[in-house]
Amino acid sequence: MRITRLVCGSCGSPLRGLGTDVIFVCTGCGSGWLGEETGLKSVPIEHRAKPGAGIALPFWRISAAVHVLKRTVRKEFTSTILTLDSRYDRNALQEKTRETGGSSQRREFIFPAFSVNGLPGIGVSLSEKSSLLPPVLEETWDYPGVPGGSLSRSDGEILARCIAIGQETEKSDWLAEIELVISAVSSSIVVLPCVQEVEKINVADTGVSFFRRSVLRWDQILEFSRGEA
Amino acid sequence: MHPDCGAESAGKGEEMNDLLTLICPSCGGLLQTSEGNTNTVCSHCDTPLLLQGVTRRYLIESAADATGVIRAVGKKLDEVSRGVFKYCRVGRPFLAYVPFWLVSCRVDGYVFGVKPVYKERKIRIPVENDRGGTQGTIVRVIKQRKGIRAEEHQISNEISMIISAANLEPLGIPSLGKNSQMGLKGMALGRSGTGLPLKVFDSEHLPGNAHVVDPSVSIAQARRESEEYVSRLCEGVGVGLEQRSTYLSVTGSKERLIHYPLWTVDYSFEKRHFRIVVDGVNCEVLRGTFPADYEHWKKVSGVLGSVWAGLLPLILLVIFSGILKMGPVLMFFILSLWGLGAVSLRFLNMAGKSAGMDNHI
Repeated sequence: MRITRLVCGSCGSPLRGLGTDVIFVCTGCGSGWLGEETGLKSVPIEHRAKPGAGIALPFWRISAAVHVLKRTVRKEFTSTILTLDSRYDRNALQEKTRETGGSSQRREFIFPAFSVNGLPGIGVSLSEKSSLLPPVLEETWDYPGVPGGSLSRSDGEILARCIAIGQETEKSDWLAEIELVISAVSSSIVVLPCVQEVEKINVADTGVSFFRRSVLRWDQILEFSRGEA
Repeated sequence: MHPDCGAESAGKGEEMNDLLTLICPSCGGLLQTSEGNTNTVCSHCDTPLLLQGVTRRYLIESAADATGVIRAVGKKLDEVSRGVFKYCRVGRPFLAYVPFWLVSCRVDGYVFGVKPVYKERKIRIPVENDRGGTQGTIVRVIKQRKGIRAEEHQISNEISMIISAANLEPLGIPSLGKNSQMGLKGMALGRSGTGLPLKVFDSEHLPGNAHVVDPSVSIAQARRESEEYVSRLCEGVGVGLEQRSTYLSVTGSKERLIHYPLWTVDYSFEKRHFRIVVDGVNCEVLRGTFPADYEHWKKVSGVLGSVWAGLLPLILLVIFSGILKMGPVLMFFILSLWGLGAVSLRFLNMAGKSAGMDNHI
């Protein structure tokens, strides 16, 4: 194991985070860094959390080309045996599905870069509401510490595919089967202000929330943020 | 703390982070961090440090020594096969560092399918009595499939598992893998770790008494097993779905190989050989065969012998006194003898059976 000093490659300030973090944000110059096997790698970052406006948490923003090769949906919500040829015939059940055709489009996924249960669902909601995100902050001299970023870039790209499938399930039809390929075009970190409201954590003003207990290291995140404040 | 061998036991309910000791490159001070951490801060010079490269092989040193292990075995033998320990010839305990893979990952995904919808119908059935009349009614519920309902489920979970990296069957320990995640009762090594200090495995600096078992299960095999386990676990989401399609994203996979101390103690009793496996961390007896309890059989035989020896003069007195000429007395005498004999035989049988069967843990 190689042990090196964890300092910002741009300004030399010490980088701090939780023990399991792989995403680091410099509080001196605001640059973002990813801890990889070979060392620290720079990552584009958008600061949208004003200092003191809540707990600044990291989110992945992945822009990707999504190719839906095959999408099969069920024709109706509930089918009864009366409309089928046979009660248990698998082929008969399959007749109740139809293909909606493939598509190719560029999508942008925003989802937590920290470990949280229900991540695909949060990612689907947040990606939909990307227009409601707070504006990118102008250059400021005071950047908040951003704890909890434990999902690497490669993990983010894998999860982007999962969220793309989640977006397909959100459509009004009932998905039966899907073949989908995504190729990530760009990835960056978005720092968003999150506000704790009793048991719920609200993400900026997007209306998207998740439960405090579903974040695996919430107590450590809170302790870190209080320490920073 | 274990009362016999002084081994520390992992706390229950607390977060089970394995501790790792490293040296700070800035000040040379010792820094202790949880295994799996990617960064840490030196407590001496406050320098934040990045831990690069993954160390996957660790060793947990045995907290118990040979004397403590023999004491633990003696206590267990005394508990299971009372009185046997003093007649046993106990061999020198053998310490082996047995490898286990600890695999953890995050699983997110979706499951689609259709769930059958059933219609329940209650039918009252009259019950006839012997005379042909109606005695009452019973209600039978008939479940009839009336259609299907489409369902979409989300999966989001962190999964940890433990896989034996060597064949443990010769030790009498069932191997842990994709089909068995029950763990071993009493073993301090759990799926989420041990909560005990880990040492980076260094083949040149092993403990003096170490017999390190090399892993026979490769990391690729461990990953394959963990993938199969994950998909089997995810089958549980949306149970009963038909035409099922599952899409899983496995992220943050982490594998570590831990050499865990297990002591084996061989002993013989009445020319028969037995083996006991003791956990080197908490000194618990994990597996073993214990000889049958002969002392119990001897005690039962002794008590029954004394009872019959005490009864014999009384029986002879009754026979030769002539009172058996009276019919009811003879009948009572024979029945009493038969009853006492049957009870004695039953006790002897039970004691004999327990004396003939070894106990397994």
